[in-house]
Amino acid sequence: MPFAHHVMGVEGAYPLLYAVWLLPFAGAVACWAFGPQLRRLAGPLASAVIGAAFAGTLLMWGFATQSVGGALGAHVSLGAWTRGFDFGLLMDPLALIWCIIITGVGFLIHVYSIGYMDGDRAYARFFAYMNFFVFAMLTLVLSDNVVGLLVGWGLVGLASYLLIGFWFERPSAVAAARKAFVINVVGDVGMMFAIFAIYAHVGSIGYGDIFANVPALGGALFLICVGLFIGAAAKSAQVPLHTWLPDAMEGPTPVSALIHAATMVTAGVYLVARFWPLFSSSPDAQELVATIGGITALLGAILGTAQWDIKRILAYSTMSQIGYMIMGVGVGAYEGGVSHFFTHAFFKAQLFLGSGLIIHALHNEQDIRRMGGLRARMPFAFWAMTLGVLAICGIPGFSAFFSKDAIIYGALRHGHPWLFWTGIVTAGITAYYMFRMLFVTFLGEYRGDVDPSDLGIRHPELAGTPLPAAPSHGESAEEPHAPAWIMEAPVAILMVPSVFAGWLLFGERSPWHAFFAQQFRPEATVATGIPELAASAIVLVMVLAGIGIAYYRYASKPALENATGRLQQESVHMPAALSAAFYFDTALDILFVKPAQGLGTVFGRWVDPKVIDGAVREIVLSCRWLGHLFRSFETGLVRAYALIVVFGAACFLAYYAFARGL
Amino acid sequence: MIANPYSGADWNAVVPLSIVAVAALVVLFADLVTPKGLAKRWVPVAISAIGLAGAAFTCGEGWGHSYAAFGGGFMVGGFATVFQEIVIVAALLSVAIYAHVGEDENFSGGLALLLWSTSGAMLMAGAGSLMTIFLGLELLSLALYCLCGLSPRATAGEAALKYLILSSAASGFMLYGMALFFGATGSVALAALAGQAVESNALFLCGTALFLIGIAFKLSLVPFHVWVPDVFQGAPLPVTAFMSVVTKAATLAVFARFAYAAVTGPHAQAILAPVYVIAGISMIVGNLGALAQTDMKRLLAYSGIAQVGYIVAALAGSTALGLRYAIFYLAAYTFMNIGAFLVVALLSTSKEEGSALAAYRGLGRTRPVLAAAMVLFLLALAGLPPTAGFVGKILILSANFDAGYAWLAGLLIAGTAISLYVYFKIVGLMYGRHERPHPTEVRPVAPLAWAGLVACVLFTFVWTFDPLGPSNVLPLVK
Amino acid sequence: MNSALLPVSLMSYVGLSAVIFFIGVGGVLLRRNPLIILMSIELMWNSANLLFLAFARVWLNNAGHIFAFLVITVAAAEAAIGLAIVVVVFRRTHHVDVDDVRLLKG
Repeated sequence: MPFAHHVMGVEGAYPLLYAVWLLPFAGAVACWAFGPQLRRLAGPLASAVIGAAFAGTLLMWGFATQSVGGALGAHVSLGAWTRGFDFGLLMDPLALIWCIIITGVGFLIHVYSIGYMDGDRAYARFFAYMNFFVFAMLTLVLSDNVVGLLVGWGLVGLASYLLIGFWFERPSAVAAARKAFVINVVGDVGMMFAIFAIYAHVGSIGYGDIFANVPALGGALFLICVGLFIGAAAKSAQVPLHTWLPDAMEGPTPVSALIHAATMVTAGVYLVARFWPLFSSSPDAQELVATIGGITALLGAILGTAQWDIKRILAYSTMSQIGYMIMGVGVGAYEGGVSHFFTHAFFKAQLFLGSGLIIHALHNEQDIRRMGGLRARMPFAFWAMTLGVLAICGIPGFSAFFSKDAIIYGALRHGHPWLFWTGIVTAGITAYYMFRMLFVTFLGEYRGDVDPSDLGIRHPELAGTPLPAAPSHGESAEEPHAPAWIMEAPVAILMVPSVFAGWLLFGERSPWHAFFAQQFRPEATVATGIPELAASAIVLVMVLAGIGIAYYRYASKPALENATGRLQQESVHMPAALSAAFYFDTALDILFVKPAQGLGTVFGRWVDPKVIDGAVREIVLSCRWLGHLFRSFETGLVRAYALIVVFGAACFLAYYAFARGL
Repeated sequence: MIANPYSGADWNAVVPLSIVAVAALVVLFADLVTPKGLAKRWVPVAISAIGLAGAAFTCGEGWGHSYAAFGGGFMVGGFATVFQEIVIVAALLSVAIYAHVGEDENFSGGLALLLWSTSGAMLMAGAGSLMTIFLGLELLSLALYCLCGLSPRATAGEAALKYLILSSAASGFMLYGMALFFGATGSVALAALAGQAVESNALFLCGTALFLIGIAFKLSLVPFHVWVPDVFQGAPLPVTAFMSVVTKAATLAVFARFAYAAVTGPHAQAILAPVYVIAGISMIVGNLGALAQTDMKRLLAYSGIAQVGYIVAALAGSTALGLRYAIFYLAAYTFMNIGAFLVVALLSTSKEEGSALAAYRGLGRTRPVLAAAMVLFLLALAGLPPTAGFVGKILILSANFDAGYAWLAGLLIAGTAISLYVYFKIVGLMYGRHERPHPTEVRPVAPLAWAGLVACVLFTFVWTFDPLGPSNVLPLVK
Repeated sequence: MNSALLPVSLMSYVGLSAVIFFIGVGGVLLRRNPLIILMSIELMWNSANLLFLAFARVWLNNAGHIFAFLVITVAAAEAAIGLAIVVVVFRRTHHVDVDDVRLLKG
């Protein structure tokens, strides 16, 4: 099937691109192989490697944004494997923005981890995994073809699995890792089918060829988009495949910040944005993506209001924010979705790292009911969290104000008014639960010494309250601790972009505006009755209302005076549906896990030993038996061989005798 | 005064195989004049290597400009060149094995026979008429009968006798088929057979049956494979390695020429169908037979039956791509199979060939490099990445699907599944928790064998990444 | 085909050669003496020769004759090698029976 070979990006030899891509891999190998020798140097080494990759990414800026004759970005051929299987690296503005986050935010989180993981038994292994994750994520976004994408997709899943289960002494961590893995496999299968279908129709794996041949996909287009989106939904924790994300908070906090907030979980956004020519050609698929995104945004926000574990609050907020992004790329407001990814990475990483400061200081306490009054004790963490909360709420001037409003208004402009209103309601709820977290954590009195049952914590050991001697931090007295600044500095640096990143992306003079205009074809818009400014005003009113309610419930004088009693009341009277996270886990349990277990029992008890096991054994045995049968023809007697040959000859002759009548 | 009917171009055509044949004579002569000692081994090996390299070079010169020499009796260029180069490379690698494990007695004689056999295979690769096919085939086979029997071990004579009887009988079938072809067309040219494939042509159909029996026998397709395990096990190691590739490559060239050029018309596929059916059966039977083996040479013989099934399957449908893919797989097979034999050779001691499976226990620890190389070759034979075997199988599968032979693709996959068990058994032996039963005596350094091993590893690995390289340059065969 | 050139019909030659061929095949299958087996193989080859000559006469094409000479030459070489191998093998067993040659099997 010969066709013109389409390459996205200007062909060339970009040694920097190789460096950016392979440095983290080298770091991972070094940390893994020489962990015992490197000891405490593993952290700085791994961080330096990611820092170098970040510098390389910035140096690639000019190449990544070049545009020559319709080819946007930089492309390197890695070689052809067989017809239609050309591998290469592509760094265009879309990949560049992801690379900046992966290596830039990744670098800060690596530095932070030097302090956070200090004294951990598997210090070097942690950094090996982290570097490996960065490599996998770069593979995902830099591939110029669907196979590379799938490889990266699988590798980030593997890295995520390894890092969620990093503290494998905890059974809950292992269970969470397994859950994340299983749900991601569901997504991988969907994606694999989509990729097979694409290759079957187009005959090539390169993005350039695929996007140039979208009409060739024909009637399969919608199903391909759905398959791709199943992959995106699993990776990006979209309803109903979101249940693994809150559980994934079992991993170390830097992992949550890097993988489960800033980068990996946004791979679904990348996927939809990367495959925009496909999604833009299939309005049905867009409708599906946008709807799921909207539902996820709302649901995540609602569930966020009912959480007490600080990391789970952030996890639900991540899910909700990615819902926004997916909604953005779903309605066709690609610029808004991608920008929100960009800003979200900063403030969410900052929030996670800030919460990590608290968790670290309180010896792995994660329940906000047992915090309180931390403002005085940890002023730096307070300001870090406050700025992050203001940013996520979209207070004008802060980064999410630009990107979130672009999505919300984009939904209206592209003709999805109900998603517009969903987005506005979600913005209000977001403000409520984020300020709730902020107030309960930092205001009032410290409640760490209050009896857990007085706070409504029914099962302290199950509520995520770690035991004093957490297995992770085998802190020994003689081991010197990393200085405090090593954890605070990255958070401080993150404050800058989490406040100002929005300014970078918007305005007619922003370079990104031009890049996006080249990357994505503008979609048709509909006339709206509401001007953009008015929409922003409505959002702002909702946000202020949310903050007001949070203030009334958690920060007003009466609320602070009787904080313990109020928290207990709220815990006890928490609606069952909310505390059970809308029964998604239960539903998945009833729909999939229970039947599977039931079947497993049936199979295990009756069918398996006799049928499956028997069948496998039968196959192996019959293969062996056949092997021996054919062996028995080899009697060693030359005349017997001659007989077999003549028998074969007779069969041949008989065939041709019949063939006379062909 | 009779004018010389043949031009210089005709004689140029046979220069490569003449070089090989003359090199054999030089080897025999050199043996007479070299003094006893190490030179007795190295001088003949060097002459053979130079002769083969010269043949490879002159043969490569014929590349690109194809023509028919001797009135269509011998073809030059393109297709023939590729097969001849494969044969030469296989012969070179076999010489490397021979230099390492060849018996001192009759050393030069064996080498000379190997070279003559090679020249026969080269003749077959370019054969355009029934006469040259027969001549090449017999030159190849007669030398091989002798080679099989050269070793003083008792099994060698038996292998030679079995091979002689069965192969000569198969040649008889083939010869009778050729006679019927001659009767059908009045010409010995293969090309004259084009258009003969019509239902009423009893001579042609009967001849095809007998001709293909001979081909299937030389290709060792089931049920004409019975001789292979015994002969491969009994023959000396270098001869086994040589036979496992060269006989098949040369016969495959003849079959491809027959299938593509001689069998034409609407019934072509129906006429060739039996070969593809037995190719499919071979994939299954070969791998099943390999399951129960305890001797490496015998195991490779069975697996070779399956491998040649894969290669023949690529030709199903007589598509141009199928031929390219068959050649690619054959080239890859040359390296991975002879590579495996090289490992066996490097494990051999002066008393026994390293072919008993028991000798592979714990090899991963005692000879890690050899074990790793073996794993690569086994992966390639099993058709797993990252090896050329994987690429080759994918290409053959795609050729089968394109040509509408999905059932062959299904059998290929089933055969591959069985073969995994065969090959992984060996990997398990090498890396399992077994103690080596007895320490093996290490032979003196074998630079040629190691060089061959490195070449095999390189090609098996590198072709994974550039599968179309060798076949892209193949001009399509008309 | 010009049957006038053939006093005996072509089919007779073909029939005779087929009979000889099958006698050869039968000999390979049934006889246990390797020398007789080799002779049977000669019969198979020579039945093909007969066919070549008959067809050469029909087609008036001497390629058939050449082919027959070629076959005779090759057969001579083959017989020489065959005898040598038989001698090698049966120096060990001292009596001549292919059924005793079965070290290799399985």
